[in-house]
Amino acid sequence: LIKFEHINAVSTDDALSALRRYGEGARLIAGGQDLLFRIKKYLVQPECIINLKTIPHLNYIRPSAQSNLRIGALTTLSEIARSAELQRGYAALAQAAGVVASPQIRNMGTLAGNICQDVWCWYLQDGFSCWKSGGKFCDLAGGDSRYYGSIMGGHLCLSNHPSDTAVALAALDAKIHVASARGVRVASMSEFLCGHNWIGPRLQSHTLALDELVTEIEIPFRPTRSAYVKFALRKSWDFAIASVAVSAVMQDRVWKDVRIVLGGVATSPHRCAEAEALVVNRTMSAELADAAAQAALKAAKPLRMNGYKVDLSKTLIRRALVSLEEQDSKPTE
Amino acid sequence: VSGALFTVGKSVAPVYGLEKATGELRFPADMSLPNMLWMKILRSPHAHARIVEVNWAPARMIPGFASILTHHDVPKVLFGPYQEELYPLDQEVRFVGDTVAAVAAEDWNSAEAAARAVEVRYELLPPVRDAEMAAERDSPLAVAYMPAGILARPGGGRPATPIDASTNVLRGDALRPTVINERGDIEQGFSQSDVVVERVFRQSHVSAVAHEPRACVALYDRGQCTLWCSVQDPYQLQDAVARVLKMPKDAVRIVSTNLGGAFGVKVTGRFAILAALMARRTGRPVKVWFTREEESLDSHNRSALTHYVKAGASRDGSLLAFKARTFLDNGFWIGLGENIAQAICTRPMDLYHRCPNVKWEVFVVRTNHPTTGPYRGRADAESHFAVEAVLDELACAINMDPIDFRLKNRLREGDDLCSAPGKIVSTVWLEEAARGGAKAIGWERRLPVAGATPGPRKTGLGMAMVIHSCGSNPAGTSEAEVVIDPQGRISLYSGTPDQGSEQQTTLRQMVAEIFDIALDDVQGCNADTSICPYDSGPFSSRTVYATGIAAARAAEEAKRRLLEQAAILLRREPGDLVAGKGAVWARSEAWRKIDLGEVARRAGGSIHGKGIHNAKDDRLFAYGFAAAFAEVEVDVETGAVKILRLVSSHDVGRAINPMIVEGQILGGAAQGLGYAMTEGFCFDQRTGAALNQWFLDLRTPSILDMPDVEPVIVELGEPTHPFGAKGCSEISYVGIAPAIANAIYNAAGIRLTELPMTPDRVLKALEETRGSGV
Repeated sequence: LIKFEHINAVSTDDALSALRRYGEGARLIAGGQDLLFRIKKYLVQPECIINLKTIPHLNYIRPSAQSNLRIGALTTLSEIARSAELQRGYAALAQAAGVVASPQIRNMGTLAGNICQDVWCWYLQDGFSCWKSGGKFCDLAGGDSRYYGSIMGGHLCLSNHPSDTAVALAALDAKIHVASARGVRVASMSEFLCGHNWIGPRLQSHTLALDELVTEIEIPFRPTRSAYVKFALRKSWDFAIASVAVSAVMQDRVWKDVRIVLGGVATSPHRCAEAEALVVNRTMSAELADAAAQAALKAAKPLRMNGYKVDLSKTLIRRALVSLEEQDSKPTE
Repeated sequence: VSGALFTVGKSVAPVYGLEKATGELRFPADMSLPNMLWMKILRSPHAHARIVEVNWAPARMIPGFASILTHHDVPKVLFGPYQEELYPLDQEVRFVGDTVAAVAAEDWNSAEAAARAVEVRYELLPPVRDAEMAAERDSPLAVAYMPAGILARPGGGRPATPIDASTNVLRGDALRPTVINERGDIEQGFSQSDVVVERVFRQSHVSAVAHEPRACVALYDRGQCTLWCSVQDPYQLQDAVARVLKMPKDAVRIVSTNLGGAFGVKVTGRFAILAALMARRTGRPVKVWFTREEESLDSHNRSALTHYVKAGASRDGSLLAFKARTFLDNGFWIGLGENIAQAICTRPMDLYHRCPNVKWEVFVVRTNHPTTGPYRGRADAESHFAVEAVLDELACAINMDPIDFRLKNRLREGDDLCSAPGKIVSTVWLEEAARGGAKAIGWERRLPVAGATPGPRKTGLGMAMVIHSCGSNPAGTSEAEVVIDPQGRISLYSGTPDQGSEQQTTLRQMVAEIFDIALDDVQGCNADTSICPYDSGPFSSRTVYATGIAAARAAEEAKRRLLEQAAILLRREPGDLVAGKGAVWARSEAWRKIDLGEVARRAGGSIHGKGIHNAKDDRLFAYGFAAAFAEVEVDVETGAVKILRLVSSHDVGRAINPMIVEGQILGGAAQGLGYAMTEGFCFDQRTGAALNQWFLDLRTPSILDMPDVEPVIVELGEPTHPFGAKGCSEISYVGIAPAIANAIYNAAGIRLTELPMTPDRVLKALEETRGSGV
């Protein structure tokens, strides 16, 4: 293990000023499940680790009957999975948080940490030269992409975004509150996670600048039905081979405000706009679900070894749409 | 041994059970000695390279650095677990993760930092990745600089020969297989067959993923070297350390503490030899402890294999011809490659002994993948997936029940064995195991037409039969000693380590039975080469059988001597005496008891009994048999296979401790399930590097992935063992993958021929089946 400084931040401002002080050399830690592995394997070598878990009052779920739901950045995945309010009104998020990794990881891991996690890539971890390790190549294009490679193309790095909760949040139209010395900005999920991009010297899959941190996740209040379905090789401690989150507001069986988002198949949660357009203002049927699934994957560009994810994703979408229609109880009143 | 049994056959609490459950049990990784250094192994980032220069000046600058061993610093003495074929460090590295150097420092962190600071200049050599291509004449060589003096030792009494360094094929070449098993006339067999099937099977390279990564603490003190080490072959390690350090063997002591799982792969290796060398060099105790990635790469994993199989049968259910050509990706070394190959091509052909025409060739090929070796279910896990799938296909083609088809062609008591020439099999309780398993899974529910369930989620049943060694390995020797000391304590000494399967419990139960005492009244210790008599170790499920026979013989001899001494004291004939509950008495004088300690004291000291077992000259050969059953649900739209239920039915002769036997069967099912569904190394096609050595990506099944597993234990005895027992551990792994594959066929009408059977392969097979219009 390398040597680094460790700062227990006492407030958001405290963490932000430490970020400014250390710049590139700083890394934020909350649960640590992602970062500690990378430090132990020498994938990142920070000068300073800023511990956010010591910041009070960033761990909350504030539902409200009239206004938007607010979740503190440090709320653990277990708390989210167990929350009765979330299970009722924001089912996709509770379901996604409940199938992340293992119980131990869910007890430690936070919502903001989960959406900010780095990619899980064999080539990066094995020390292959790649975009993320300072090289100019991505082995996933011609190499072993069967589990962790994008089927939707990508820029530079072709690794999937591995988060479960980000997919659900995208389907629930969540907004990410980002703080910095410059103030607070609010980003939509597609702004916050938009594939791999250079942020200063780092190629990362979120758009947090080096001096920013996530403080809150806000989800608009709507009478939404939603669901998250994860397909993985194991029932515990595994990343999604493919996953889907769907949400809709139903008015007399007519689908309004539909969102269909795929996970585990692209460099960010992949919103299926064409499929959504087919479904919106219609009533669901097997034929419509199938057409939506076909439309969702029309633009797929699988790599050498992950073509099977195309059909798999179609099935997941089709089944998720039909099962959402069949949900008996109408959530969120 | 006859009459009612008191301890044997009972599920008594295991000796180490409580300590394991409470975390009290100590492993080498828990050990710490005063003034101890930590050693870290520097590993090759290249699949194949020659070390040009090792610059360790930067490592010296790391605070805490103590010493380094490079290939310049170690004796050029060949050693190895199975063959003398490795230098402690070599100038050529032959897989990603191969040992380059060893660095010692004051603590783990500085050892790791120092190892990372070492600068190594490599000359890259072409990596050999594909066993089939590597067998070709013009292939680059996986070993470019072969150490001189290596002999390939085939075993089975055949002579050792110098290794041919000009080809990657061990003891063969592009045209000549390493081993071949041939009987009858194969082409005639096919011409007589009514149905013939042909398939290609590919199986992944898998790691055993023992809970405990390897660890060793070495102490060198005044010409004595002691190693506390997680190895299952302490006597081979003792021999290797003595060879390399040029010490007398009795100056080397190996304490093989309890192992956190060994599965055949925890054998003598460079890490332990280097720890001993480092301890001598620094004059301080040295500890080495593998990370999970090291444990999965620098192990002896199950080899990847390709089988080209063709088999034919007649309409009446006779298996008439079986032909196969197998390529075994052995890693760079010899190891046990040839021995495994021999068993691959013979054992299944013993199981289906009635098949008159056989030709099975195995090419053992050197590659720059990690080294391979015997891992739970050695050779049979490698062969049965292909054999059992093809037999299932033949049975379906002639509309015969797959169980009946197999039983019709099976081995029978007294048949001669091609896997053990000159020997005949003693008992075959295969039919009983198969019928018992069929009843437990509800085999009568199996639909004869594949893919007949409506809807996208299709269910089906499948089965496989298995033959595996149960301890009757002619290459092994076991010795045991039983001592009755003047305080009346009875102790068992055996050199076989307890690798986590509670062998100590089972062995002591047999001794307790012979003396008619409680299990707790038999003491013992774990394997320690300075205390215990020789044992070749817990391989091929031999402990209960081979070490068990030695222990029972030792106990019987000690008891005979005890009764002789007691007869003098009691003025009776030994035949009139009874031993039990810590005392001896005459049958007619039950009120007049002398305790065992008194007999020993009056005899002038401890009473010893020794027992040896070696099956070399036995005509009767014991084999274990099993039948595995699976019920699955295949989702034909996602490729997901849900295992609904497993039944694992075993001919164990007799269960000495049924709870431990069940534990073995459940553990084997879990490991076999991983082999079947999720595990397997993915190698980068460009560089030959393993990609998924990470614990997450090794993908052993989690507890949530385990279906309901029902063990069925068939106890009909085995005459060559004093208590009628056969070893039953590895065998429980072997049948799981083929049973699941056959159940998938029954469910969805697809033959999966590649392991692991992941959703991408299921979907591909479905697409091919649709494409072919079947």
